[in-house]
Amino acid sequence: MNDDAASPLELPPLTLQQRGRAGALAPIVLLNTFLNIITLSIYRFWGKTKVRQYLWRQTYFMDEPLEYSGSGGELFKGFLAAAFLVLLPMAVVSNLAETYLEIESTAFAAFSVLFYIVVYSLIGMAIYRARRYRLSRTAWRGIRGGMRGSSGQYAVRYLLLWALTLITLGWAYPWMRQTLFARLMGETTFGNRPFLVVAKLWPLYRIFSACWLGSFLMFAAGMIWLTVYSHNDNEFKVVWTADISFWLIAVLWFLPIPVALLWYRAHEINHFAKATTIMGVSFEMKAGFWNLSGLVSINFLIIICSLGFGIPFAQLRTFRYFCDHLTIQGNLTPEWIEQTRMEAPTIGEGLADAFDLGAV
Amino acid sequence: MAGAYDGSYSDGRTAAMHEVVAQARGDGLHINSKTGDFEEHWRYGDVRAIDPPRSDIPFRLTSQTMPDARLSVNSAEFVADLRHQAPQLFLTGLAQPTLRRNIALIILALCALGLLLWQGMPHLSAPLAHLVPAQWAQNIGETYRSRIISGAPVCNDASGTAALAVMTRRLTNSLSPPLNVDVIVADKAQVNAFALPGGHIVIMRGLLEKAGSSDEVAAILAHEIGHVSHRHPLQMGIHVAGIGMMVDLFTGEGSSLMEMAGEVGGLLLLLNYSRDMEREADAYGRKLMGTAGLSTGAMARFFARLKPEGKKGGNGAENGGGYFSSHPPLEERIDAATKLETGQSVLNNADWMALKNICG
Ligand SMILES: [Zn+2]
Repeated sequence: MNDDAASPLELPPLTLQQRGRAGALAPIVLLNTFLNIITLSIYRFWGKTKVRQYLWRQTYFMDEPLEYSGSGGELFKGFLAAAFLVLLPMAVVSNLAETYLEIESTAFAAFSVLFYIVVYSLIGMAIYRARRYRLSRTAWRGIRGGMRGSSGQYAVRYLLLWALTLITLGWAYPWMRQTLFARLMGETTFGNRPFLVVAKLWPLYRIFSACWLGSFLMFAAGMIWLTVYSHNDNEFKVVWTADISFWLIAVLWFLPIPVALLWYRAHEINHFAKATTIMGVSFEMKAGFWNLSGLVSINFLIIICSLGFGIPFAQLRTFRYFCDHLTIQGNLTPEWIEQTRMEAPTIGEGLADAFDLGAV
Repeated sequence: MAGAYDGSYSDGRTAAMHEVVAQARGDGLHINSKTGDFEEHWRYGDVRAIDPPRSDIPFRLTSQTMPDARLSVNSAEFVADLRHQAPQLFLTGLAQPTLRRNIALIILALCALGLLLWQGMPHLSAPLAHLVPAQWAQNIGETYRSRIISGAPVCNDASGTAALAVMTRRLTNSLSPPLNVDVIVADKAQVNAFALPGGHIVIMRGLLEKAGSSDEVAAILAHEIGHVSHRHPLQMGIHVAGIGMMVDLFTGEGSSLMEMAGEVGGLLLLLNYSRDMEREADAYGRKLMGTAGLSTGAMARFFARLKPEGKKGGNGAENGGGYFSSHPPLEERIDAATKLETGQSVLNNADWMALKNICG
């Protein structure tokens, strides 16, 4: 017995576990699928909420289940707001532009650029707002999460950093990823406590440059093979070379990017986890190329084979992957975490639904 | 006497967890700290279950008076006690007010969508059709035309084409402002004619074969010109596009099933003018025939020719082809068309024969 006046329980170990099972999720998914079909998919907001409630309550932090308190009605209202205030006006404007502007005119080009700027900023905004909504509906021991920054500022960075990544042929990618992660995670709060993100950039660039150069060399090799082969109009040009060329080009051009991306991402996940702390508690992820590839490819198959209806199973697997590969170190003192004073958004992540930004 | 059960409790101010004893008594839920330093009394009217009781997670409760506080008890006996005292916490199925409200909301949303589509769109599409620039309408019309004749050759016998031009000019000469129409004959056996956006009109070979005189063809052509003049094809095009947009908006893009249904439904709708539109086109056609000094009874003769065959056709259409299925009842149209009966032939016999053989 503790003689502290508040009498806290003896602290369970700092673990995050996902105890959900596909078998228990299946009836929820089946019912959702049925109801989506008969309601022209308007039920999806409520269905999504049911899935989240399941995933959240099966996620245990320090042996205590999380709780999801969002509702389908909130998501539906968020959707209506996004549809009528954002999407419909955008659709009308772009239709008008296509109608009245010559497709090859500078006016149309200017309009297109402007339109993409708006769309990309809205996507950035949607990501931030969806996260804010979900965190505000997530509670552990009644204490809620939140986002303390502004979605507008995030949107500006999102837009500029993506543009920079395109201009630099991808070389700004790690910088973009880290800046955006630092924004999202560093502005996340649990109760009144902020997460902190302090990360160096060079470890990411070490991996990234290897990935970029590797992919580039493979691509160049494919180009060289193609050039040599197409100038070679003597007896070498027989059927088996054509076959080999096809497969060689396919491997050289289309394999490196997904492989490099997965390899980079595995490092990135670990790097980001290491950079994050809250109240002196630190995190460590052990993602690797092979286990991440397994997760991504099986999730991909699940979604494709179920025509998208199986997405919740993929989400469960992602949750579990994350929990299984995460270790948390340090001492957390729960009584130091006070309830957040931030106001929670009243309607759900309409924009994110509109742009089909998956997440959970 | 209600049993006392071990549970854990957090007050919602901090994440600290306290060991408590919970009792479901007659006057409410009593929560007593095991160390004796606090006690809570929640009236049943304020108590809410976080999730329905489940075997795989502890039963979690909160109170509306302290919505961030959580009581968590892992005991089936406690749940049974509480069920006895406060059955309203355990409502299932349609007894739950939130479920009833959600169902009402979904039905309302479906009705609103339906109303918007079937009532709103026609009102919107008519004024919008007059805003579409001619060039754009032309392009759309060409796309539709190639889809409708779906690969069938366009008949281009020189003297037949000349005869068709004579007929078209005879009808449109008197119009002011002039109306741009582009009439072609497609080599298809259907007894059919279409008006499409941008003044494109397609007559099928089957209709020429069926017609007993050049005036009957002229009457059909005048009717189609009526559709063009009233911009019916564009109106329907906008209608269909609008429905597609609304359905996309509501059901979320990417559901390929919905998209397929939309494609098929869209094409059907496109060729299915409302009865009011047909009446407008009929009236316009009669006026055009009269102004051109042609027999306004020709329309009636053509319909009379269709009638016996239609009686045989079992698909509910008034003719074998199905195209006239949306038209006002044949009797009514024959009546309306026979009221005015004067005029001479639009083409001389040689030209009429040339037109009949336009497909060679
Ligand atoms: Zn008609």
